[in-house]
Amino acid sequence: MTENKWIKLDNAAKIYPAFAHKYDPATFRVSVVMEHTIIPECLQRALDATLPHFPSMAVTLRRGLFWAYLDENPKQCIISEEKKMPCTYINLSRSNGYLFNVYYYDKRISLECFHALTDGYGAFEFLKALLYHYLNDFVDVSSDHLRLMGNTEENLRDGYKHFSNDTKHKLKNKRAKHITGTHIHTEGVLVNHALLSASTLKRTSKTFNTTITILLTALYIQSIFAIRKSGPISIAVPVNLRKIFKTDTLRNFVYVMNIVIEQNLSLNELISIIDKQFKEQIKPDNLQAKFSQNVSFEELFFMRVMPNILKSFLLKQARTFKMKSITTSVLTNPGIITLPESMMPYVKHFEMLLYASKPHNVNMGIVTYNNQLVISLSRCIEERDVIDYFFKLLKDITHDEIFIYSNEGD
Amino acid sequence: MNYPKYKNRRTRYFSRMLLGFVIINYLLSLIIPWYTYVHGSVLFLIMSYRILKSYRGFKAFSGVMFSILLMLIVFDFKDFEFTWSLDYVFPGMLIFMSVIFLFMILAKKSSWRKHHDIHVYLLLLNLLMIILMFMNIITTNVIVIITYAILVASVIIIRLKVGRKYKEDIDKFTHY
Repeated sequence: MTENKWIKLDNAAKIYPAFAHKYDPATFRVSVVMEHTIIPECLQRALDATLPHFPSMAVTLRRGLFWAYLDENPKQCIISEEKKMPCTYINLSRSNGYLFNVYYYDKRISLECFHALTDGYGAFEFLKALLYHYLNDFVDVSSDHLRLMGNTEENLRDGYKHFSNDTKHKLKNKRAKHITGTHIHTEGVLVNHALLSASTLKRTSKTFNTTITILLTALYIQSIFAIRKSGPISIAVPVNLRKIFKTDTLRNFVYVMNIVIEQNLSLNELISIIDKQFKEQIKPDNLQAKFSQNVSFEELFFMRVMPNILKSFLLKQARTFKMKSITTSVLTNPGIITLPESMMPYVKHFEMLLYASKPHNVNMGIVTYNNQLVISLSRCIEERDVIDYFFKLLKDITHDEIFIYSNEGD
Repeated sequence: MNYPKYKNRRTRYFSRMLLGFVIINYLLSLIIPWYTYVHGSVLFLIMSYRILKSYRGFKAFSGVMFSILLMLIVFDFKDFEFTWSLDYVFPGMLIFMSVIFLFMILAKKSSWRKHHDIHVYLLLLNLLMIILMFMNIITTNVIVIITYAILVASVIIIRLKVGRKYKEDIDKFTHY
């Protein structure tokens, strides 16, 4: 952040203010489910203590003449009881200008973030710091291996710009089939969670000689084919670039791989193809060329001097007609969440939810904590046939108990 | 692992319906001259509603003033040419807004931080007005020059009042 405390949007963030609205909110949620009921007063104090140490979160969105940007927000961020469905549009006039909301309900603390602010990794880091301050209010917990500050130059860096080079990679993607259904016509998403043992799933994936993410991607693709019947099916899987490029930014730094399967195959065949595509696309040079292409597009002179209002319109059209058409669904797995041992007795598990909007009507978020893996399938359509089929496949393959719960009510 | 019971309101695609309504109004105004008044008024109501829903304070006020300007321009375009709206209302509105903005900054320096974007838009509108004058679309050159002078004076006074923050805020608003 510069002297008068404002940040340019990073390369990935630039598109979100252009299209986000009530029906396509670009919001995701990270949650923690505790062993006890949440105490709102402690949570508010925790947020007040956490936020000043994360300057990349303590901002509001302003629309400049050429680009939107993040400006320092001096107002207090207020927590609220969860009343709306998850992943609704963040209305700045109701959030005191903040690009995230902190909700509590029963035993759950949820952080809903606008994607221009950060990605899943950054949100989890903030949530863990918030959780530490919350617990520290009434019990003595240690902060070992926790990040309680996010104010270094590296934390605020635009990773895409920093690591981009002159190599470019033009994307050639085909149109993919989508999961269709009857739109629920309400703000937010319906969500179905599956809670299962991470070690059991790990064992199962070992029998296929693969990883959990690849196994779940394969099962998900099989479920879509079972319902949708025809392909190609393309699953967008975000890759955390921090591990590959050895950086510690708290802003967006992911790149989305597209796993494309033309026709329904056996599970073993699917795993082998997905594994090949993962290995091919995850090469640092490939990833760097792909995001460098995006950075160079952003730096074109005509893009830079085009008024924001016009640029937003063009980016929105590009997203609607090009980017959305090439992806069937999104599957994200930010990985394993770790907490200091002293905090673990208070925490049951974490959840990660993606927003869903037309035509990406169903999306999946996976998160693991303390041997508990939670798969959250969010949707904005009434039909849940793909989700039911996926859970059935998961049960069949793991031969283990899966606890399923949702926000659909009775 | 409970979730609350939601009181869901079914969302309806009002925006699309409104856009359709505006387009129909526009087409009708091309056929029926007096319908321009209906079209302009509807445009004003929709814009003001959206602005008042999203903004408060001076931003809302500026937005509503801009909607009034647009409505009057639409009214004026009834016979397919601009006369009084661009010649008198446009510069008059710019002078009025600049003076209000200037007094607001003089009364409360901190409001500069919140509203510097409006200042830039006023300057850009002023630039547009000068271009229109050179294109002979605006014919009241004296009023344009007076407006220009008032805006330049307001820039100097605001710059002096706000100090170093003036450049910083303009820089971040216009970064490219």
